[in-house]
Amino acid sequence: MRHQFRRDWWRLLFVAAGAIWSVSVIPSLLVASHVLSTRPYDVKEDALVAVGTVIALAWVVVPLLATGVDDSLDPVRFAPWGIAPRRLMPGLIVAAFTTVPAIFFGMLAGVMAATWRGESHGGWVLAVAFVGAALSLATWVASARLATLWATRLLATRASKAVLGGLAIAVVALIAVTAAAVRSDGLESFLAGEVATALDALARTPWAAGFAAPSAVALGQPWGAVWRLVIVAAWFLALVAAWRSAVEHSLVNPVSRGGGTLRTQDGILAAMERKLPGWRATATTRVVLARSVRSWRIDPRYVSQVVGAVAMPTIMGGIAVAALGSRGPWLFALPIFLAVTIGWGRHNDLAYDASAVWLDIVSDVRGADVMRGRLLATAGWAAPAVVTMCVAAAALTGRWAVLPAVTLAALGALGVGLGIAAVSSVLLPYRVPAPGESPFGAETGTIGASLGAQVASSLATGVAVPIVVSPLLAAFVWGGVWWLVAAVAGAACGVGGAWGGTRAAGALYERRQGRLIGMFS
Amino acid sequence: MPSDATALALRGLRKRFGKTQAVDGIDLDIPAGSFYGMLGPNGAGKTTTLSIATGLLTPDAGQVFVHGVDLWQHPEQAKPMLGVLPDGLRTFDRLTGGELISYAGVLRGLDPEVVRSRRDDLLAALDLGTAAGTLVADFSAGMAKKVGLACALVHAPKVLVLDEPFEAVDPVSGAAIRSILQAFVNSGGTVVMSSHVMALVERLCDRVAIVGAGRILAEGALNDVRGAGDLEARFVQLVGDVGEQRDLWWLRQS
Ligand SMILES: Nc1ncnc2c1ncn2[C@@H]1O[C@H](COP(=O)(O)OP(=O)(O)OP(=O)(O)O)[C@@H](O)[C@H]1O
Ligand SMILES: [Mg+2]
Repeated sequence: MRHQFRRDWWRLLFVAAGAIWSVSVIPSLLVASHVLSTRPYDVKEDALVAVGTVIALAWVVVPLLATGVDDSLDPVRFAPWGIAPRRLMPGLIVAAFTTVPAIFFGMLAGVMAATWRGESHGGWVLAVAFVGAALSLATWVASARLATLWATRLLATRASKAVLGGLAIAVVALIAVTAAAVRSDGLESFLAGEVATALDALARTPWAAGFAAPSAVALGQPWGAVWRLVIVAAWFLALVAAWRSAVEHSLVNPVSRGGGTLRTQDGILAAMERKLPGWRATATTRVVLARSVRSWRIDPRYVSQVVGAVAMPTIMGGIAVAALGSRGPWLFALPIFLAVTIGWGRHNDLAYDASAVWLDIVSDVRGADVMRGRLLATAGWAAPAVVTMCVAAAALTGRWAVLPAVTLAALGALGVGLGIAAVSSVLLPYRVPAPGESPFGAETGTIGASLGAQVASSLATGVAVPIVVSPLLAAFVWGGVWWLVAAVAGAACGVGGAWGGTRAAGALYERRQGRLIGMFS
Repeated sequence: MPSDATALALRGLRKRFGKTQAVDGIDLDIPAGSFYGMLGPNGAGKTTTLSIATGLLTPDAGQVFVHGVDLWQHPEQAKPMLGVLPDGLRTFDRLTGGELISYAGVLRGLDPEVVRSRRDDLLAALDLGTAAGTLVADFSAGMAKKVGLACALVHAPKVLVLDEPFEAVDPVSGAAIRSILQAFVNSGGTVVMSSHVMALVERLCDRVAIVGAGRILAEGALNDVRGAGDLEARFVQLVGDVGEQRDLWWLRQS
């Protein structure tokens, strides 16, 4: 740990910033806790159960979507040394509980438990509250580790697409049902009805029982508290057992290899022979496109990014639609948000080739051709996703007339974003998991570099995207000819941004090719 | 400027990584038509030198000429003459072996039809039948080396620069590679390879250089360098023996 900090002082800064932020939110938490502690026990219970459930969910989802946060816990790293899982697990458990998020949420759980002060049977209630909070914290941390291990395993299999599709449908269905319920009964009756029922049910499950147990004591039902604590503890033990078996599995089956797939067709030559009307790409662009498309299909490092890029805006949008129940024109911000997220997310695109770029470099390829091939491969899934989102927004609002302008503006934002990302991925690359490594890992020592690249590409995107999108805003406000302006500006900026970005990135690529391999590895 | 008859000329190459001076002023002339062996202990700077010589790593100082063309000034003329097999780098591992060879061929500007027939020739010659449809991610170390060699050969370059081409390769494939390389040299091509296997270098190479701590310690025709004894003795003499012959008494079984 000390060694790690010495090697990369940025990391220390990052941890310090995280600590300062955590400390700075504690007063507001304490205030919230104080306010809540003066309320009746059933209000407390409902609030804490709700918060606890959200946190439990976040501990599963966030590590999966925000990939590459910390892989010092990735057991695969220990595989070469043949350490038995029995000996590895205590170390992994200790390490998992001494991360910054675990410590922060430990404090948070403590504050939540302290909310139970001032009840009758005060001492007992507080004791149960703290035990419940500690057990809940343990389940959060264990479920996060288990989730990333299972996800890594899933992404390496062929069933992954079916499972991901199923999950997506389930999430969308859940959101739709919620939205329908809110709309038919109104928000208040929804909160009093369905949500209250759900909270009651959750209070009996391991996810939130730890925070409901104190209210049983306050009501004078010690057994109600005991069985709640017992199911949380049992859940934790079950998670640890599953975690251990997942560790064992990952040690014996290194993930992310090809899984013995056999392919009889030569996809590279097929790409050379494909004839599309009006499609005049260079040979290099064609084959780079073909190999990048292959990566987007079967490389777990890429698949996990598609999921993350599309899931975040969709889920947030869905929640917003469900919660607000409105169909205002703000819905059209969603596809643009999606486009910007995807574009910005590619700011380190080239690094995913890792040291394999040697083959391109010794072949004296034109940099712009490589960058264009990579950009087109991303656009191959990103453009349909953005267009789908546009159509969905038009369908929800019923404003089909604005669809062309919105679509072009969103695609324009995508093109500009990808163009900027192309430049930044050559200018400020940083190490990502190499081919065959777990997609949920980041090497230590990259926080400094990644922070720089992320800040720079955020600034560039923040400046460029408003230029593309502001005519659309004007069109929503003033209408008329602005719709045409928005459409033309979107199309022009998208094509221009992608073209110019890859061109600039290509020139940089050629100038820096003797240093690229060193920067990726 | 070195003449066209010098396949690969290195002039004053230097490269430093932090505190390590990996390459410390290397000058080398590799005549066209030679089978050149580069020897040296681990960490001597062989891989670093060959990376600079193939355009993969920018030197701190120095020049590289391929048949008289400055590689770093005119890569568009120099790089097509080189076939490269690096050591320790990854490959595009979601392509199959056959696709990787096709990819290299297309990048080198060959027609798809030419690529197809050369790919099949190379797969057969290097005994890579099963590798053709298998993802590179699933390759063994030796299969990866052989497919890398196929990628280096596909555009019929004038000069082959191979970093440890025989590492992890089985004896049968090794023999196949040896005969391919020897036929290539006999037809006028140039091979530069690094290796740790003395017997192999003595058998294949007509010229050798011994590198130590980023410098050339000895260079020339094989017979001149090894003198009266064998190459291994000369190597040990030049780079020095292991510092201390410590007795690992605890390793003994009886
Ligand atoms: N990217 C790098 N960063 C830092 N140091 C490096 C890097 N590449 C090489 N070195 C150092 O440069 C020196 C020469 O390394 P090089 O790989 O060229 O040796 P080599 O002769 O190929 O060794 P081997 O026989 O083990 O392959 C070594 O001390 C190595 O540690
Ligand atoms: Mg080496």
